[in-house]
This record gives sequence, C-alpha cells and structure tokens, in this order.
Amino acid sequence: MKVAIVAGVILGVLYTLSPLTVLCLAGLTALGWLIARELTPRERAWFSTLVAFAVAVRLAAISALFLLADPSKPYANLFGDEELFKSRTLWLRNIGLGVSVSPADMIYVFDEVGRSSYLYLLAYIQALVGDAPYGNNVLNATVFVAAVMMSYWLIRRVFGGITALAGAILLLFVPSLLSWSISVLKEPLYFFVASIELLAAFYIARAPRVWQRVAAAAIVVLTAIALGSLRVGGTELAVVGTLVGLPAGLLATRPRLAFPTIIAIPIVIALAAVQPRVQERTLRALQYTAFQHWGHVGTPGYSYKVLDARLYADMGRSAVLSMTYPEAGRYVVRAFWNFVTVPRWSQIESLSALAYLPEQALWYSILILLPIGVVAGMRRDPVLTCLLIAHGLAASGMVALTSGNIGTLIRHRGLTLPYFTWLAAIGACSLVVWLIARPSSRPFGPRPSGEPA
Amino acid sequence: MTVVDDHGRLFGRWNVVDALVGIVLLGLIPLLYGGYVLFRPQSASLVSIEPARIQAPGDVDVTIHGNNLRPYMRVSFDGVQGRGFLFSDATKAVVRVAEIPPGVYDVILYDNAQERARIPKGFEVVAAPRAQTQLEVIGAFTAIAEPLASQVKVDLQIAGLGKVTRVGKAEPSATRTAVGPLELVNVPSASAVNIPAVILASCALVPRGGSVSCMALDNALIRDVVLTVPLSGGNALFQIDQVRPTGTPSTVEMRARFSGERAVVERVHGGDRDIARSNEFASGAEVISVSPVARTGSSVIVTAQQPGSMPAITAGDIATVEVVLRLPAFQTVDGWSYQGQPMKPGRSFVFHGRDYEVSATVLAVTSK
Repeated sequence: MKVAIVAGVILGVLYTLSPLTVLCLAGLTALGWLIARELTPRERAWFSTLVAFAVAVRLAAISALFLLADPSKPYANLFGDEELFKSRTLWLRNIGLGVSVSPADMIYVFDEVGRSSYLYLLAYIQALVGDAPYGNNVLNATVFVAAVMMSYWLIRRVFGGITALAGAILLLFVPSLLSWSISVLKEPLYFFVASIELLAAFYIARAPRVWQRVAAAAIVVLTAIALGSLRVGGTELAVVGTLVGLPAGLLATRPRLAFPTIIAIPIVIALAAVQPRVQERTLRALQYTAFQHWGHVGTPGYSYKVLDARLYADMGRSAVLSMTYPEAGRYVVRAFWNFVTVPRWSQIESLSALAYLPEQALWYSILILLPIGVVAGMRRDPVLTCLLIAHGLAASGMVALTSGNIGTLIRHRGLTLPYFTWLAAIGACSLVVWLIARPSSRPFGPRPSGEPA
Repeated sequence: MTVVDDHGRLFGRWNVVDALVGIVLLGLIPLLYGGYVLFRPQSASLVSIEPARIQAPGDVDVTIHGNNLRPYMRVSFDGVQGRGFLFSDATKAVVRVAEIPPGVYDVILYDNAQERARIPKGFEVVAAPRAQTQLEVIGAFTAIAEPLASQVKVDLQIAGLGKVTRVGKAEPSATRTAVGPLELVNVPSASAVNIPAVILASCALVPRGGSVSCMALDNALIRDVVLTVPLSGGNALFQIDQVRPTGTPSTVEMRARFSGERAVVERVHGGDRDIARSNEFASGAEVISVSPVARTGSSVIVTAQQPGSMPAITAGDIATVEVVLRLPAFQTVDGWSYQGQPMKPGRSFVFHGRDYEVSATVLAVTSK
C-alpha cells in the first residue's frame, strides 16, 4: 500500500513535469514486456539491460539539452531543422485551438517548405499534453527505440537471438542514429513506420492465416501512405521495397521458378531500356533527382558534386534539365560512389568533421559485412533477406541521387541503416561462426573424430 | 536497548536505510519547490510603448517597455507585424513599424508560440496632414444608365470628391478604354449615355513617383483617369477630360507652326478646333488664320516608339504652315497653360483636328 502511494505520488509529479515522458516510457515498457515474454531468461536480461541503457542514455542526453539551454532562445536544439518542427507545431496547435499567434507565424506555419504529416501529429499530441519542447525529443527517442525493439523481435524469430542483439546494439548506439533519435526531426517516426511496414511486408508471406496476410497487406498500404506523407519518396520506397523484395524472396524459395526468372529479368530490362518512352522517362526522372541534388549542393555546409561541371553553371539549376544520356550515366555512377565513400579523407575540412570518422569506419564495416549477410540470410530466410535488400537499396537510391551536402547525406544515409545493419549483423554472426568452426581456429584443441590432420 | 539492532532498525522501530530514504524524499520536496520558484519562467508583460502615437507614412522605431521580455519575442500592432525585435534588456526592446495605415492598434507581444501580453488600443497612427487644394475637373459621367443618370445635376455633392458645378447634355456613351499600354479606344455602351460635367474637386497634394498629384477617391486627378463616384444607389464612372485650376480661363492668341506630311498640313483650315479630350465645357484651341503651305522638301522622319521595338521610319514630303490659334489658357507661375501643358515659345504639342493630327511648335503667345 505504502509503495503504491509513493509510486503514485512520484508518477504524479513526473506526469506534471512531463506528461509525454511518462506516457512514452509507459508505452515502451508495455512493448518491452510483450517482446520479453518470448525470450529466454538470459536473452531477457540482455534485452532489458540493452533497452534500459539505450533509454537512459537518451533521457540523459535530452536532460543535458534542457539544462544547458541558452535562455535567450526558446529551447535548445541538436539540429537546426528542429527549430522548425518545435515552433511550427506549436503554431499549428495554437491556430487549431484559436490561440492568438504572431501574424508572421501565420505565414510560416502553412509554408510549403518542410510540410509533412509529422507536423500535424506533433501539433495534435501537444494539443493533448500541452507544450512539449523536450517531450517531443523523448517521444522521438521512444519511437526510435520501439522501432529497434520491433525489428529485434522479427530478426530474432528469423535469424536468432545473437544476430538480433548485435543488430540492435548497432542501431541503438551508432552515433548518427543516436543523435537523430533524440532530435525532433521526422527520421525517428519515419524509422518507426518503416519498421512496421517491413514487419507487415514479411507477414504477407509468412502469416499462418489468410486473413492475417490480408491484414498485413493492408498495413503495408497504410504505412506506405504514411511514409509518403512523412517524407517525399517514402511511398515509393515502401512500394519498391515490398514489390521487389517479396516476390524475389518467394522466388528464391522455389528454384524451378527462380532460374527462369533470373534469366528473364535481364532480358526484360534490356527490352524495356531500348524503348524510347522508357528512356525518356528515366532521363526525366534523373533530371529531377539531379535538380534536387543541385539544391543540396547550394545549401550551407560542406557539399560535393556529382554532375558534369557545365550543369552547375546556371544558379537557377535549369541546366540540369538539359542533361544528356551520357551525362546521366556519369551522374548515377558518381552519385552511388559518393553515397558509399563520402566523407572521404580529402573532404574532411574541419575538426568537427573528424567526428564522422569512427562512424565512417563503421559504415565501411557494414558494407563489407553486407554481402556475407546477404548470402547467409538467403540460406536462412530468403523472404526477409530480400525485403531488407530491396528496402535498403531503394532507400540508397533515393538518398544517393538527391544528396549533395555531406552532413545531410550522413543523416539521410541513416535511412538505409535499419535495413543494412541487420544484414551486416547476420554477416558478422555468420563470419564469427565460420571462423570458430574452421579447423585452423582450433590449433590446440582436439580434432573431431575422422577429421584429417 | 541498542541504537541499531541486528535487523538494522533504529531504536528497534525504523530501518535505518528506510529512514534515510524517507528523509531524502522529504528533503526533495522543499528542494523541488525551491527550484521551481527559482527557475520557473516568469510571464512576460507589456507596460508601455514609446512613442504611442506616430504619423503615417514612414518607418518608425518604437520602444517597447515591459517585464520579462526575451530576445526571441515579437510584437504586432493588431495584424501588422512589427519588423524585428531589438532586445535591449528584459524590460526594453525596439521594434520597427513600417507601412502601417492610420488607425488605433492593440500592441500584442508574442513569444515563440503565442500571444503573451497586450496593450489594448495602445498605439495610434495618425494620417499625415496633407495640403488640400481645389481643382476643376472637366469630364463626363460615362456609360451611365438610369437611375444613376437622373441624379447627375448641378450642386450634386459627391462624397470624397466635391460638387458638380455644371452639367451638359447627355450624349451617346463612349468611354476611352485601355486596350494596350498607352492605347485608348472609345468604346460605346448600349443603353447608357455620357453626361458631360464639371466638378469642383477637393483633393490632397500627394507626392507620387517624384512628382506631386492631387488625390481624391484614391486616384490622382489626371486626364483619362476614371473615378468611381459614389452616388445614391450605386457607383458611377467619371472619366476626366481635363483638369485645370479653378477660375475662368483667359483667351489667348498663339502663333504656331504646324509641320508634317504635306497631305496632312493641307487639311488645316481656319475654324478647325482641337477636339482632343474636349467637351462642351472644355473647349480646345481654334484655328483663326492659316498661312500658305510652305514646302520644306523631302525628309526622313524617325519616330521613336516603345523601348525595344523598331522605330517607324517614314520618307515624307514635309510641309509647314503658320497658324494663329485662339485658345483658353490659365496664367500660371510658368506662364500660360493650355490643357495642363505649358505653352512657351519652342514647346511642341499635338493639334487634334476632326480628321487629322499634326505636330505644332509654339512661336508666340499673346493675351488678347
């Protein structure tokens, strides 16, 4: 009884201080409990410790942000773009509630730039719980950790506990993901919805009952729409990821169909590629992404260029609309090369950019482990592996072709990590198992019977 | 009895650890309250604005006095956003007011999210006193139909403009209508008429684009402008033919040289009238006498047109005549003025006959 009273009082005080924090932590606890039910005691201990530590680190960082805030500004931010989301959602909420806002804010709140369903979601939440300039940070940390937990649950079921734990550790503590997971940017929510979409796409193929498969397909459609409303290209990513990944995975389980398909696909692509209409549409699409790339090159910070020099001559960016097929080809190659390698040593022009180096090393490691993970994954579960590859490649294409600012590229490259990290984790675990199982790895141990010396 | 027994209880009653936790928790309550009192954000308020009254138009810096002001705050005057918020300290900031129309405004203080304080009717913008004058506006109520037409009578008071002093006979409707840049075409209106009239207009002298215009009904009173005139039961259109000072014009004689294509110059005869923008109240110049046509030889006339377009080039048989004109003119500071244009020797003007137009140069002006 006494414990209940004290707990109630503490909860009440905490809720008064930050209702969103209490609600978020309650939701996360409930999700953790649901997942932990399936785990072995040892796994549960690891999982609980990992999640608790990840949440504690994030709450500590957000508390530091709050305590170190500059009083001359309304609130502290980790990223410049957060200001937009924090202020604009309050204006939106106030306009909805009929609270008087500054005439200037009336203009900016409905500006086309930065418009996203994320703004409306935050505005609605703040209409329920009040101003939450730092509660929004906690909300994002929560949805990010929840996304990792859901993915952990899926990966553990398919690829085993060690792989799932390794991937979860990476995703929870990669510096760039850790920093934007506590920011008020749309990436954490995007990651959360994308995780549900991946889960649902997998269960279209693997749910035991028909109605469950139909429900999974409906969830894929809804989450694809939600992703599109959060970020331009989000729907396309989900559609491509599912429509390519799912059939590829199913085909991989049926060799009789797989081999003819593998032969047919290049032929179909070649036939389509010689069609003038297809060529024209492809070129137009690349001109559009090049236009966006040029826009990123012009933003503050350090940028990189992937187009031919003549296409940068016009500050109005109209020159990219005259991009030819050879130029487009070079653009695509350079874009993907830079997507993989930026920031290169030669591009590090400031001390702060040096902070990217450890993460860059991790990125290269993920890329090295990726093919191993794909091979190992295809042996264990081709459907989930193909879904991860397809989603990861679609996200890579979207980011590679449109990026032009190094900082933004690193942030947006994080959109591919939720897919590639799991594959890399599978690769790492398979590599470790293979190294342990190798005869040469046991030079001093007894050899299995019958094994040649 | 031991102070702390084998079970860690203080005086056999309380567990030491529990007691310590309890003390810490109890101690936290005043600590939290103290922290709240010390660090809670104080609500901002407005005390006054200085100056509280300004004259429009113009950019003015006003000083906002208040409490707990922050650098990121903003101020608006009703719906007009103040420009900038130059934070001085927690009690003072400077805001620029620009392009604000005359009126009385609430001064509203906002933080990053919403309104935080307000001084109702705390700021007044007064219209700058303007030099008023009167002009005689000659023109016609154009494309006017019943029941508005019957209201046009002498002594009709028009709000915001002045009084109708003379009314002419109704004529078939014709409105000079813009069909292109600087291109006006007379357009008729079915079942409507033009009623020539003279209005004694009160207007304000307002600087516009480097010169001064006399403004009334939100328009500059200049020829060809169409005023929207409020009448009982609706608005009517009044197209200005001429604007001139009040009073009666003098009749002057002007000697001028008309020059141009021989075929045109030969059309000039005694009795011809300048009919441009003329009506029964705004008579134009009349040709009194014409000298014999003098031939000056073949020439090339280059007429400058709109910027960027090709000039019109005409090979012509140029001829001149000297004419004596009688015209209504006003004595101004700069000499005689005809239809708003100064008439000094050497000035050029265009004489609009009934079926021709010809360039003219003033040679001499004499009062009759």
